[in-house]
Amino acid sequence: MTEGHYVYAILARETSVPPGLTGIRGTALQMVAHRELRAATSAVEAIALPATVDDALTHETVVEALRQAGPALPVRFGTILADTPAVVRALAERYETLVADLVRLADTVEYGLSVLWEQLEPERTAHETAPSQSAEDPGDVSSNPGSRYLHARLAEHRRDTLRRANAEQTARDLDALLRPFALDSRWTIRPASRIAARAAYLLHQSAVEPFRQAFEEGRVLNPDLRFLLSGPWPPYSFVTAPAPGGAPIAGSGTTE
Amino acid sequence: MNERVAETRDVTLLELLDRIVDHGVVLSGDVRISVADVDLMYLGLRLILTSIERAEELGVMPPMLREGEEPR
Repeated sequence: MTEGHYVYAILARETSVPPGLTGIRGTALQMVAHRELRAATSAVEAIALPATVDDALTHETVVEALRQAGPALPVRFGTILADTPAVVRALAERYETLVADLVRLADTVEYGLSVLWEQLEPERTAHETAPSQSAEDPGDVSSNPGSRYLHARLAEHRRDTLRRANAEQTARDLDALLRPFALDSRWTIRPASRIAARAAYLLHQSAVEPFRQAFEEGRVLNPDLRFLLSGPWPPYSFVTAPAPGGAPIAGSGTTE
Repeated sequence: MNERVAETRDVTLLELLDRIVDHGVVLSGDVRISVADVDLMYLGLRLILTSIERAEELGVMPPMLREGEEPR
């Protein structure tokens, strides 16, 4: 049976591990060190790990317990490396970035925000409301199935454009309210009939209460919107991601 | 665990899955993600549908899907 190292988090070498903390399927945590970093791992059957909700919850439990002991970078769920040398190579490959992230993300938490709206459809044109009222004029294009299709697609495009513009404005307004209390923010704007936008905010732990107060202000100011605020989470969304080719990408912005 | 706590936990679980599956430190080198992750994502999708109903009951959010509507 082939075993691998399931990786939960990256810690500073001096961070102590809470006693009695176990990993997925109750396995003991093993620390793999490289220079000033350590990876918190546990042994798993490398090939046949069926991912379950309990595994996800255990992953998060381990990450949060380690963060209680000191700065720790949460690793993506399901990361399994072949053996100890592979873990060491992975730490070495991104050593400077991981060290910098440990410093940058120490004492920070992430909050998630989902914004939902009661979508009002934009005013429909006369053609859209009565496309078949064309019997009196044989030349009326609305009697042409192809033309009706194209007009319908145009109307859909206009609604999508308006919906997106509304979502972007909503995101700007809310970010103006919340951003002063945050270290970083990431917005995803893919508006649907109910979801306007989603965001992740990186906060210093000391800023959580004023951030939540600002959020409540935003809720009161936007009675036509509904909100789902979750957190605090480990800063999953704000670790530095490797770019294609290996160079790290960091920083805030809007993703779509 | 009472019903309301369980419903809140469902919504929280979705937020958790959204983070740990798509975000976090990426380590290269012999990374093997079990294909059984598909089961987790399927479970996640079921939880999305379930939690929407429960979240509506909680008054947290309106229904995201009407009956017969396909998820986008």
